[in-house]
Amino acid sequence: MRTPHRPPVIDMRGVGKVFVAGALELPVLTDIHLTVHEGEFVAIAGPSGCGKTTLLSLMGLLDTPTHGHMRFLGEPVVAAGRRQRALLRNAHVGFVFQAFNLVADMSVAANVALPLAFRKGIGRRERDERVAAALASVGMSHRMRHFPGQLSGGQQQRVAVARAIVGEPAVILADEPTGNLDLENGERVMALLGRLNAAGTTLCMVTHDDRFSAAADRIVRLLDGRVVDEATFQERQREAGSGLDERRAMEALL
Amino acid sequence: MSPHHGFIAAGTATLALATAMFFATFTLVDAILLAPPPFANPAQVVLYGQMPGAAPRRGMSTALYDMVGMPPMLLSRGLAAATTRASASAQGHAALLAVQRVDAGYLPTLGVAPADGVLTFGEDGEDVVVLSWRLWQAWFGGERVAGQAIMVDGRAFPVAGVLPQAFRVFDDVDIFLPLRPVAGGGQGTMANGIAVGRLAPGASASAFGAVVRGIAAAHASALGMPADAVASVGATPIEEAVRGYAAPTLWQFLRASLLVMATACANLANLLLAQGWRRGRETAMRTAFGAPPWRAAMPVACDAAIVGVAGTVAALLLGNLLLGVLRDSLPRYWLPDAGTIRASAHVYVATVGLAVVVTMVAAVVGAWLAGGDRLLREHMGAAGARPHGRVAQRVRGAMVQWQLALATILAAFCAVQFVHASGAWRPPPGMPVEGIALARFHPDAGHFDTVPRIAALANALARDASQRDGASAAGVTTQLPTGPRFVVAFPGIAGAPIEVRLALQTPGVRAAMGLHLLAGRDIDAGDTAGSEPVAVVNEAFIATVQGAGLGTVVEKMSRGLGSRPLRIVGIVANDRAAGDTEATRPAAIVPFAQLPAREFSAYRGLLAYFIVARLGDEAQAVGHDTGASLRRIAPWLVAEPSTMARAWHDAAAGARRDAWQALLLAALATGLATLGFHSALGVQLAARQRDLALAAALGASPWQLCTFGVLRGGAGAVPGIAAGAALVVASPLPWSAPAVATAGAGMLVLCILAALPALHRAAAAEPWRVVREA
Repeated sequence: MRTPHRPPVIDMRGVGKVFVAGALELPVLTDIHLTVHEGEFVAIAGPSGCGKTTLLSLMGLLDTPTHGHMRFLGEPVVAAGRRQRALLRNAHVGFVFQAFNLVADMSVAANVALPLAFRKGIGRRERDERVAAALASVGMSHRMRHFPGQLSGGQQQRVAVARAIVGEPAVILADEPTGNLDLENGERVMALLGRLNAAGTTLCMVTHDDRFSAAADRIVRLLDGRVVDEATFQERQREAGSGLDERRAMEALL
Repeated sequence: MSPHHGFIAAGTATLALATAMFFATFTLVDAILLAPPPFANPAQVVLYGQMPGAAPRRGMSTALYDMVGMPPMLLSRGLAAATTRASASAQGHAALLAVQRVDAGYLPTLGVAPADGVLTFGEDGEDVVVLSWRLWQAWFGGERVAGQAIMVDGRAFPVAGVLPQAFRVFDDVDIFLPLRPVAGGGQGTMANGIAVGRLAPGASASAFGAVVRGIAAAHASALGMPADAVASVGATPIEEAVRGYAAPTLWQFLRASLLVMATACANLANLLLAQGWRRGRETAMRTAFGAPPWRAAMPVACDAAIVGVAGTVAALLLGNLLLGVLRDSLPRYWLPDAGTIRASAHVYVATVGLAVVVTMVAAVVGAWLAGGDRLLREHMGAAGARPHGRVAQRVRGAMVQWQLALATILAAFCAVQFVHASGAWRPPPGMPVEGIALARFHPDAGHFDTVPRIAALANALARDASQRDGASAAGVTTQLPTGPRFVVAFPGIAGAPIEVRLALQTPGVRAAMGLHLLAGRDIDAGDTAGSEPVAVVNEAFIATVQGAGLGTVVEKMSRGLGSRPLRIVGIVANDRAAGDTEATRPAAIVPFAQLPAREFSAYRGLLAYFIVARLGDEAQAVGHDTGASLRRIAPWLVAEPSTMARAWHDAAAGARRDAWQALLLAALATGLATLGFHSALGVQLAARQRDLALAAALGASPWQLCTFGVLRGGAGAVPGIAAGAALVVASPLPWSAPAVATAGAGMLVLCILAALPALHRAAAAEPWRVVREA
């Protein structure tokens, strides 16, 4: 692991989440203990319905745990109010979604600028400079005046990555970022995320694809709402007795 | 309230309000403009004479009527005098009734079928009376009445027959009497009668009008008609004439109601679209599994059906209430009698049909915009797909802004109308209306056929009334500030004639009314027929009439009657006529005894007569028997007792009704616009739910969510309201800055209230949905 001694960005202790629908209670996550350190790349894997997306939404402060303790950048957040969590998300979290979630009637530049539009103290000039830099870093500067409907899926996801990094967040949370992309575009997006992680940005990614989770420092495997395994890719490969070195293959991509 | 209940309520209210307005308006149009008048072959009947200004009513002088005679173009003709009052009694009832004298040819020429008896006045036979349907019902209970007697101005008249319920030509008339020459020259100098003719086959109204105009031109000097008056002589089909007052207003009402229906249709489509989007995922899934388009559209169709049925039922109930309000406020010169106006079967059919069409159009538009394919693209991955194209979005935005502008315009003009009308029920300045007892009467032409006789009656009544218990002052006048208004012309400061209210009075009226004498003296007993003609005028008269001042002589103008000099001997404070919210009109008071015989002959049928007595307080005025003087001096005349306060209240009733109607119209317009704004925001919000969740995930504050989700995209109300206010200011119609500001501010507040639910939902957007529902 690359960052065992760095300070934790996300620290979850005994976290659980129960969805309630009328009289029906559905526990989705149970007793999660998970710490993500600064600069770490954590992949979250597991079968469908195991709670990966719910875990990601708790880590990204999109939702609140039903029980347990959680700190974000050292700050307790379980009892944090809606406003405080919004401020934390805006300042420290970047999101990349499977379906891109670009606003269709806003230009590429306006989409990328969206997190900055919700942040106080950033002038128009600074915002434009940051947007231009973010788009340049994902190779989309030439499409900044276009609208999402005019871009391919891979291009839309690169714009989404630019939106995720424009606010210089401490952590990027990616929910199946390659799920809607073909292999080539998926690899390009993973290369982008890998570069960001290499530059020091913490990365948590939900994925089904072992080829991409191989690049992670750690793979957290969920089953029925519980963490059942937490290991590096090599450790898992050794346990599995496999001779493939996909980690090396991914590093070649980066 | 759940979103679905909210949708049903908003949709039903939208459809009900608009359809109710159409129902009420179309009922009036149907009854007044489309239904045939109660005359046989009405297309062959014409009204002929001189048309003053743009009024559809033509006036006919007896001189011109006689000159025209019976040309070959006419099969028959008839003449009616202007409506006046008479004392009548029968079957234990007694009242001052509206009377019209008509010649033997008038009713047969119109071709009216009697409800009872016959409608003919013999040329030489005994005098008979024809009753209106309303009087027949009220006094005789609708039983056979032909041959029974009714006392009119002290004479017994046998009843010949009863007119049908719907009969009306310009005025509400209780009884019709034969028009025959009377001593004193009643119709001998009549200038504003109603002449009707039945055209021979092949003759047209315009051709006959040209004949009448030619005769008028040939005898212009003998008739005392200037060239412009001759040019206005002609003939108008009776249908066009009797509907002429109502037609422009009613057609405009109908156009407005259709516009409101179109607006409601757009609102409903928006609401259905919003509702469709709320269940977008479900629809998308059905489409994905191969459901045909009609299956995807079924929920929208069901929503539309519920709203259509509920809205139509509510509209018919509301429409009947609205019709009641409108019916009560119809001007009395519109045809037919307001009491006879009911919604006919085809009004119901048309209303229901239109409601169905509006609902179906809204449903089709809503279903198309929220169609399965579009939802499928949106929900199943094509992020570039939108629920509706940019053009459709802009059209909907423009519709909302147009609605808001229209509502602001209506609200501003209604505010002006409300302020204008509400000013009319303020008590007149300088005149306390409480504590004044009144008795209206009408001296009959048989007993009071000359100026000395009418002056003697007025002075006797004034003396008797002032000596009665409790009366501190009393007199007789032909005009009250509450009306009816009688005006004559005086030269204005600029030279052009101006209208001046003219009252004939005995001494004591000013004191009885409590008006302040500012300078000079009152009319007194010394102002007799032989002395110099005098007038007491008000401040407005001094300010507006050429050469007016205390002691000066002014010329009363009169076409055909010659001008008459009057010396101003007193100036009184301004009063203000009920309903008159403009600057106080100039008024002149002249003594009864000094009225020339020629003017009296021309005016007598147009004047109203009142005994006015000042009592201590209102309770005394209510209990005071002011009519006792009349019963003692002329017992055959009927007095209508009242008080000035009640007369003021009644006279202001029209103004109050106008004000409430203005409020009702404003409420309807603003209500629909607000609902439209609400539904547009609903659509916007439904279409942006995912964007809102994204914005929430990216850290937007509640206010930023509102700005991002609701106000963005031109849904703000300010442009429409501002455009409406600008159009009001730019229009040539009267407006006032406070009214425009009030309307604009009111619309803004309503829009903010309408936006609150959407803003609340936007501010409460849940960020986790961005990963769950993307």
